[in-house]
Amino acid sequence: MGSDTSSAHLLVQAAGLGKAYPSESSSKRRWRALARLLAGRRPSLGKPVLQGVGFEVRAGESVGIVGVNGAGKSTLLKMIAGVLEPSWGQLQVNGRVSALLELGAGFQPEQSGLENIYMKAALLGISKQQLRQKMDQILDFADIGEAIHRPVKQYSSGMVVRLGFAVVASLEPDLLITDEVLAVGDESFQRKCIAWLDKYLANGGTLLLVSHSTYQIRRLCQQALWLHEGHLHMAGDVDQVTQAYSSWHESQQSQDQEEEKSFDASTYQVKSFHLSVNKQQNPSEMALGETLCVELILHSPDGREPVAGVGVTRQDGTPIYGVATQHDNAHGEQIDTHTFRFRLRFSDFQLLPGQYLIHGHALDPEGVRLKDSVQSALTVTGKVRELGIYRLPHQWYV
Amino acid sequence: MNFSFFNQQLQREISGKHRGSSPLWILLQPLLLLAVYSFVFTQIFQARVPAGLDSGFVIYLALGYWPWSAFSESVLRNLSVINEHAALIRKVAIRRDTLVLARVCGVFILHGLGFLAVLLVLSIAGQSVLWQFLPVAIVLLLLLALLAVGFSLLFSAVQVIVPSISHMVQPAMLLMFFSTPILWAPSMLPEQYQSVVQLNPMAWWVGAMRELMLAGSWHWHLGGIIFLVALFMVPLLGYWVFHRLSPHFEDYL
Repeated sequence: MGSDTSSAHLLVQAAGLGKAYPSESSSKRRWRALARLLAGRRPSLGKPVLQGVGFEVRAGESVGIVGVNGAGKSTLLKMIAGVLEPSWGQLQVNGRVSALLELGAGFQPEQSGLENIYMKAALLGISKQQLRQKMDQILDFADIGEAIHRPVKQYSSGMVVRLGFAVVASLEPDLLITDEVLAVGDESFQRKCIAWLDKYLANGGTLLLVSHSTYQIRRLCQQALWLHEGHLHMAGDVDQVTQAYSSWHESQQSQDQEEEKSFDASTYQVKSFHLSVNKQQNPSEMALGETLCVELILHSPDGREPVAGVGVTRQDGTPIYGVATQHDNAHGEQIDTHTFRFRLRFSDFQLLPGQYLIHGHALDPEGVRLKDSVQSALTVTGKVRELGIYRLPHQWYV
Repeated sequence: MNFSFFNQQLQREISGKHRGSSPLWILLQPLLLLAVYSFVFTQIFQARVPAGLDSGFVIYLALGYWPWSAFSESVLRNLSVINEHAALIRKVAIRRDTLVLARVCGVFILHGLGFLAVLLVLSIAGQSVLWQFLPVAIVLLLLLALLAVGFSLLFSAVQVIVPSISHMVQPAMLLMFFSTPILWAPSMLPEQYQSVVQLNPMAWWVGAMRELMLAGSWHWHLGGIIFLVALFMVPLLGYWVFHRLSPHFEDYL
């Protein structure tokens, strides 16, 4: 880590930062762009992808960046990493910066993983001797076995990220920049990375993290920036920013759903689907061990009671649990001729912290055909160090 | 300048791994070329060396051809050097001129070795090579490498912004090849063209190399001044253009 980790030490200082890519592609326009660049002027630019962004990062801080696709997150990180020139504004970056931008981390696809490690170290001015001392550590962290001798172009995306992170982790940068890298590796590797990041931050390291997972950002960062359509929409404490971002997302989602779904009275339908935790309606998150209630109101075109189903999946759709009224011989409450209400309670919800989707399904009364589905995202929070997705009831005994 | 990165790139260039060929060809290829040239020019065309240089045609050709190859290959192969390393440039902050410099050095080291091998073989075969002037020849090669760095920086940077430049550089290099007395001797030219050829900086260089290694003599004339001016101006221009354009590479890759 940096020798100077006092809170006043500025690692990144950005003011009025903006970026636009050149618009021209025809040969004639490219000659004109060349002339302008040589004259020290800006070539004609397209629509800005980033505008007027200003913020500071001090040594020891960890800053998360959230925003939808195309908000300018990667562009901002690339400028800080020094691979992209800002079109406007000032940017000052101090200290040793190590960046994992998207996939690949700048690997040479034709070369083996091992050669790429040497290459990456050379880029950062680390001698072969210093690197040899760290090699075991890197190979151990990456844990890709014999594949290290194969060209990187044959690697799976997960392996590339493993290798990239392992190299970066060994270099002990003052400022670590990562862009969505944790989303690619498998679960165990993600945990390894997060454990490493915890240690890095505890030792005074500084982190800039782009992630679509607000959970990861809250887990690792104290500060957050929310970029929206190229502007800095909100900056500050991580909880405030991510909460505002999540609720904005939900309002977008419900808008989308309303637009998308037209109610079709001729079939079994989900009329409404609500989650509640501790009387709070539609929470975006809950703590491990709280009670989750699900309310599902279904429409029946013929007045027969439909089968209601509730499922829990991971964010990527991996099923965890699913149950329908017919499994338990349960019945809903008939509100009127065509409307049935079903309520389901998960007491002591023991899914480990992470992001999940809760699904509500309407099936025909025979429970054979799935007629309609809705879903709602739910983040489970809590500080636990157990692994996996579910806390199995257990006791240690002698 | 990051020397470990430079070293690493240089090793890649020399090992030829990225081109998928073995380093053995570094020495074999020039010797095979030498065999072809000596057959074609001594048996078929029966080419003659100009009066004053008491040598066979093949050594006359070799002294110009290998340095020219190093120069030409440096410039041409650097046209695509930035695009070849696009993955790296997009993701890692590096000094991009290191890529150009490493390639020129790699090419000159390889061709320099080939050049030595060819001279050695010709010398063993009975040609009189003035080996005592080898250190001066190496200095001449270094100057040529510097000129190659200048052109390479210039064209590699412009090529990123205007890719069509590569279609112009290749014929230009061919024109320069034929306007340099490599396959022919200046004395074969009609009177009025002899002074025109002197405007080509390479013409003086090739002539100087031959006079040095075959006759041990050294002549300054207008061509030498032009070479020195080019040697001063082209690297400066190349460096300036490269550093004007390199911050914007990522926008155009």
